Amino acid sequence: MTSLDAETLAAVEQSLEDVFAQGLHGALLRESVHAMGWQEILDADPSANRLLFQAQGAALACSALLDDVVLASLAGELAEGCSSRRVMYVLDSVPSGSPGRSRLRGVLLADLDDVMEVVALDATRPDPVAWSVPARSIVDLVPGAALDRGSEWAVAVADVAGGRALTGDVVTAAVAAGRRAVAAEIIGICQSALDMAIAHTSARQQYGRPLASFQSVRHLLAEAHTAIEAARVTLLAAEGPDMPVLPQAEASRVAKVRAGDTQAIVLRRTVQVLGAMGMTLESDMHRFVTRGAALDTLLGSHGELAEQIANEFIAGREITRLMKL
Amino acid sequence: MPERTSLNDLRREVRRFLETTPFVPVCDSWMRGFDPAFTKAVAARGWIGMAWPESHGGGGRSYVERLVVTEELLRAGAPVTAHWTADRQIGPSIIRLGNTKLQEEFLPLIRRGEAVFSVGLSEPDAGSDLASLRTRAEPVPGGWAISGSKIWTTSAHVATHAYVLARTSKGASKHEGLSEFIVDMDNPGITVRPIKDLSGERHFNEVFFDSVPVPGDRLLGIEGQGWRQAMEHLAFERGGSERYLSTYPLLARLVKLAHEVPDRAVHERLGRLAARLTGLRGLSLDLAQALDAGQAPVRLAATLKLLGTEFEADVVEEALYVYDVCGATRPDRRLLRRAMAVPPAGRIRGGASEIMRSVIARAECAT
Repeated sequence: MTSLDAETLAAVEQSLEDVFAQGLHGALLRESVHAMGWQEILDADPSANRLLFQAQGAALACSALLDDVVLASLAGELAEGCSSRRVMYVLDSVPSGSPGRSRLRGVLLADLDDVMEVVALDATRPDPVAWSVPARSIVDLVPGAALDRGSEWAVAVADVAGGRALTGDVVTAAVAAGRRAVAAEIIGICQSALDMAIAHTSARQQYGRPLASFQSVRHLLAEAHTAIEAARVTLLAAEGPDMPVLPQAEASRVAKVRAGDTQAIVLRRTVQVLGAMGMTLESDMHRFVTRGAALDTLLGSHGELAEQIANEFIAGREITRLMKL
Repeated sequence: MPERTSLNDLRREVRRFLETTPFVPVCDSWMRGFDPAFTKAVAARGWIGMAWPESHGGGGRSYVERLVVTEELLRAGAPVTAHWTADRQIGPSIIRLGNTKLQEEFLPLIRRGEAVFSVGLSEPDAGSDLASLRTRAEPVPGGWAISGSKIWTTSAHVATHAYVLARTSKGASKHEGLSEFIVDMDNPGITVRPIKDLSGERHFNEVFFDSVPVPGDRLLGIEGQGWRQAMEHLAFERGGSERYLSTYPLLARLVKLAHEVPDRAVHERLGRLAARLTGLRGLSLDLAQALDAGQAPVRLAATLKLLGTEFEADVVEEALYVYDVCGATRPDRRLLRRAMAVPPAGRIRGGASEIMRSVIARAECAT
């Protein structure tokens, strides 16, 4: 694997910004991203996904681009001859009524129009499983049930009995790639929310001076900044080229935990400094909050993943093994 | 950046050293672990001044390599107080700013682990507003005479030397007219008054200077430029692994307890701490690489210090919960009692958390 130099990455970042500035969503957004030669960029540097998802988060755009990341990782293991797949990000299992039959509940990022196959990715356990099932295995679907009003997400229930279960390193790697993408999207959301908070507090005056000149306000903004920096560096540590699957999976899980923690830290502060504006539908701030919280639930919330991390090192591994220098 | 394998080898070498060298592990061992014999043993391995350039008698290693060594020493709770300040900031300052005589006298002394430094910055009336300090250095034939007092001076009671920031002239602003000095602690004009901290231990002091004569060649850098020079230390002072590993011996113990008495909530809490630690180590690595590139990233150092000291505080906080759930022995409780003194000190020393937030916000907000 290779990696692009800083100058090329900056150019990629700028092109992504231009694409997302068009305000596109869903399939149209996906087409625009592909039209900029995204596959070639990824071939040159797989970690470029970080820039894509940061940009998506910053723009609060909604798409199923995450499916592409997961499916690309699984590509070698999935049956050929299926032109269209959708990933279901498993949240938990639900009772099916008949013993021995398992049903999984999860999030779909877009509708099932023209979708032939669903891959139910269950990362709720340390050794993840991907169930490949026909689209008709979705037995229940509630559109827009997610917390995030601006998204096209749906919560679905899939009957995976009889489906093909994929396990092992390939699935572990797919989950890890997905977690890095979601972490990047959350970081994009946090940075964008912080930018908005800085702009607002710099423009709005109270007591005859900008809000951002008050120390109490500045300190909240500083705390948000430090949290984002820590999340960013944790994500970068999960992206070394040629990292073996297991260390990269561990590092990706840590990055997802930090991103999930960070959205809670950052958005609490950015909402606070916007005053009452922060809780209205007129200001975009609420969209960062709901999107951040919704993304935290995908591929394991920060609480669930923190428990998984601890289970590993408490079993005798060292904490510092999580990130080698 | 050095090859990963050579860093891993170095890490193993430090671990072997720690296994074969006797010491009593403590939390906050860079402040509370004064052991000249241990420091001599560290010096014998070449790990004091290891990142200084070879042209100045240093080890010529990188700051990334130094980070590996300091992480391992602090993780183990090894007593490194006797050389910590000299290695971390006094040596680099003397290399950057010192005259030839200062360099020839002090760099070998520090390398051998024989110079114990205290840092005289804060004063009773000048804490966060450091530039309003009142200690004066008056010109006298052959040098200077220092009068005034410093407070919260760690290790002053065991130090051989002190770094002192003093006013040498009245500048146009309070940031001008300050100068840095290296002072011998055995001067009869110096009095050290102990201050006990909340744990009942003594590690900091108040230091009084009564017309203490200081030779002219003990002026560090340029007269009147002390403020700007001192600000350049800050990346060295605030950005090290001591800002997140001071309570590590306690954290390691919590992991063992959680292994003995498994509890899901305990696991989740420890997992979150581990994830935060990973981020802190990443920031610390970034900082070491910046130092290797010749930069002094003051904002990044402030970020690391702010997040690191909060992390250390949360380790202590979570320990109360883990002890409650998993049970604790008498030595466990002793370990916690001593660790509890770390967070309040951590949030103040080296610049209060509020100052860190202000440093970060200044770069963030145009206002």
